[in-house]
Amino acid sequence: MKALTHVMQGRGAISLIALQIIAVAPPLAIVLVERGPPAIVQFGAALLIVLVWDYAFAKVRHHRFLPQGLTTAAIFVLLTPPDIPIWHVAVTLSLATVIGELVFGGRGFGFLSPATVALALALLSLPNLELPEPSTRAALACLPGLALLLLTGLCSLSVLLAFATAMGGIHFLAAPTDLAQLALVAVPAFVFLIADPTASAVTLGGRVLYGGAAGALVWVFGGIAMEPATINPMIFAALTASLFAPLFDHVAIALQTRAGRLRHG
Amino acid sequence: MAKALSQFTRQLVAQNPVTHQILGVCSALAVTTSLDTALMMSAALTAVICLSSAIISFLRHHIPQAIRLIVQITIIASLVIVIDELMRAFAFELSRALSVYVGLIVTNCLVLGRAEAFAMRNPVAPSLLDALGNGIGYSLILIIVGSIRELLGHGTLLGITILPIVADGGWFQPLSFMQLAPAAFFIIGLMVWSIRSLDLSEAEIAEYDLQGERSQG
Repeated sequence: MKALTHVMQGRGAISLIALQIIAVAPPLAIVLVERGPPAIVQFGAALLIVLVWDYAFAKVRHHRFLPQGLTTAAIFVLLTPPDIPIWHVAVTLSLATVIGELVFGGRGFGFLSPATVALALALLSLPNLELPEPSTRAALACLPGLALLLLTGLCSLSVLLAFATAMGGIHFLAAPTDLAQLALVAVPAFVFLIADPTASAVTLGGRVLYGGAAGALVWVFGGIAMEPATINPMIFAALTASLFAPLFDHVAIALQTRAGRLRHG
Repeated sequence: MAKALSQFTRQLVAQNPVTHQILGVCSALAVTTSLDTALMMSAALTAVICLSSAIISFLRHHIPQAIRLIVQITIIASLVIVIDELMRAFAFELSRALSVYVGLIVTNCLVLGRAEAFAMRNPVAPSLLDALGNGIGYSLILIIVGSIRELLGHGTLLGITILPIVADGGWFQPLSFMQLAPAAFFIIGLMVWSIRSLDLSEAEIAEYDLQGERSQG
C-alpha cells in the first residue's frame, strides 16, 4: 500500500515501470521463443514506436525521459498474434500511448491502461482478429509476476479476490466453460490488464467494486456460454471497468461517509 | 470589405468552426466514413449557411427581437427541406447514405450560431462572406477527416482504389477502426491539438501545473 501511494504521487514512476517489466519479462520471453522471429520483429517495432512517443513527449513537455511504453509494448506483444500488419501495430500503439497515457502526463496520471487501450483498438481494427491463447508455460510464468506485484502493492489483493469471486461465481452458477482454459486466459489478462494500478480504483470499496465489475463484465462481453474462453472479452471488461473506476471510488467514499454520519449522528 | 475578407481567411484555419469553435462536430463525426458523403454534406451545409445568412441579414431590420430565433429557424428549416429534396432528386444514393444528417442541418449549431452572432448584426455582403468562410472551414475539416477514414478504412478515395486491399489480392490490410465514430473523434481531437500547439494564442490556460504537482508529490 505504501509502495502504491509512493508510485501514485509520481515519484516512483521508474520503480513502477521496472517492477512491471520484471513481472512481464518471463511470459514475454517464453512467448518470443515459442512464436519465433515474427514475434521478435513485432516486439522490436512496438518498442520503437512507444519509445519514440515517450521521447517526443518528454522533449516537447520538458519532462525527463521515462521509457514508460516498455510495458505497453511488452503486454501488447504478449497477447497479440505476430501476424498483425506492422502499420496496424504502429497506429494502435501510437493512439493508445498518446491518448491513453501521454496526454494525461504519463504513467500514474491517466486513468486507463495504455496496453488495454491498444489491445481494444487492435480488436476493433481487425474484426476477425483472434488473440492467441497463451501456452500453459506462458500463463504459469505470469504467476511470479503476480506475486511480485502483490508484494509490492502494485496489484491489489482486493481487486484479485473480487475479480476471482465474480468471474468464478458466475462460472460455477451458469457457464459451462472449461475451468482450466478459463484460468489460462484469465491469468495474463488479470495480471497485466485488470490489475494495472493506474487503471483500477484506489479505495478499498472501490477496488472491490472494480474487481467485481471486471469479473462480471467478462461474461457480459464473452456471452454466458463462452466456449472456448478467450482473452477478447477480458480486454473489453478491463477497459470498461477502468472507465468506471473513478465512479466506483466515488460510490465507495459516499457510502463510507454516509455510514460514518449514521454512526456518529 | 478588407476586414471581412481577412475574417473569411481566418475562418479556414485559425477560427475554423469545427476545430476552434467546436461547432457542428456531431455531423462531422457521423458523415465522414467516406469522402463522397463528406463532400455532399459539406456542399449541403455550405449552401444552407450561405443562403440563410444572406436572407436573415437582408431581413434583419424587419425581424422582431422577441421572435428572432423562431424566424431564423423557419428560414433555415425551409432551406434544408429544399436542399434535402434536391438531393433526393439528383443524388438519391448519397442522400440515403447521409440519412437524417441533412435534415439535422436545421439543428446544426454552426448555421444558427452564424445567423444569430453575425447575420443579424451585419449587412448582406459581409454576412454572406462570413457564412461562406464558415461553410468552407467546416467543409475543409470534413474533407480531411473523410479522406483519412475512407483511405485507411477501405483503401479507396471516392470509391477509387488507391491502396489495393488484401481481400482483393492486394497488400493493404484496411484499418476497420477508421470506419467507427471514435476514429473521427480521435482525428478531429488530434487536429484541434495540433492547431492549438502550433498557434499558442489558441492554447487554453492549464487548470493546474503538472510539473508543480510532481514536485509537490
